[in-house]
Amino acid sequence: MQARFFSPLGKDVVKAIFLVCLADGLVGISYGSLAVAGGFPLWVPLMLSLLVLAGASEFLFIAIVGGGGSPLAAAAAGLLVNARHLPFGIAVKDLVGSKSLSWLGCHIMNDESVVFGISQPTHEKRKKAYWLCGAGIALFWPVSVIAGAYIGQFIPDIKAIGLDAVFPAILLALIFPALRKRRTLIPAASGALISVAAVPFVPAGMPVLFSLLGLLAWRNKK
Amino acid sequence: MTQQTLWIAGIVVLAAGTFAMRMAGYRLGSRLNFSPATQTMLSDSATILLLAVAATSALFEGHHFGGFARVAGVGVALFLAWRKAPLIVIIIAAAVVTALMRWAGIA
Repeated sequence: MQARFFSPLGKDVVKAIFLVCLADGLVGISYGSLAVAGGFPLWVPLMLSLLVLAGASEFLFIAIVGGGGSPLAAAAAGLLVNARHLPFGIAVKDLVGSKSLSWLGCHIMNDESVVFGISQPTHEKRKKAYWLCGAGIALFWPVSVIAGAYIGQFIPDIKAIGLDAVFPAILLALIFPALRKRRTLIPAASGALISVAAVPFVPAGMPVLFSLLGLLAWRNKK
Repeated sequence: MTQQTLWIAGIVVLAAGTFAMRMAGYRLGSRLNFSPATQTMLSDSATILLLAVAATSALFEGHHFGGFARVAGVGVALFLAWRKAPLIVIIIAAAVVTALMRWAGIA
């Protein structure tokens, strides 16, 4: 049944989504193992992975609290990192489903599901790619956090296997076709420059929001 | 409050706030009636945000430069995307190039 539901996506996209889930899983293992090694009981990263489901903000939460910071300050910092989900929500409003399904559809919204969603050619494929990637990560992420708590020390360092390059790479590869249009490229490139310039000076999460200033360069032309 | 209660409070605030932002975007997008031009602009805005996420996570580790190995891996990925290579090839190439450079001692 699943195979038929997702079949219009094409094998390449399904494989790529699986690979991204797998990469997320390896990051999750490292996250679970780091959190437990840092003195947290397993339920802390596990609850975060189930209820927040946004990796970067969870890492930040664990890092701040583990470093002696207040959990509420850590939550505030995490919320700033996650603020981009509001404009994401506007952009994928037609993909998350309606009524009660939209609760789940919104919860599985993250960089990966959004980028797979918006990069497909037809509405049907957009919806399927968004859901397959979102559901895959919602499953792989908490499971790998549990795995990490137990087997984390046997897994190679994610940096040694170059996994940290995979996430920017997949985002770039999937939005590249959209960037071939000048209408999108100019605001996106200006936005990215603003973000990169801002990183050293402002708290995590804000630089990405600054990229929306690139919309000032947006013109309704091809 | 005990440490445990504080942890739970922090997790609940982060989870509820994150969900609220996801939901707010979706609701806002569905309630308002946008002109076709605004619709196009909104879908471009997701691309703009994602490019910024990619650029900052390729270049930085916290507030500092994240090293040349990852930049090289992402650079190769960008080149392959431009050459229209399959997604899987791009993903693997980025990881392999970055891993090899680190293995060779270039951070």
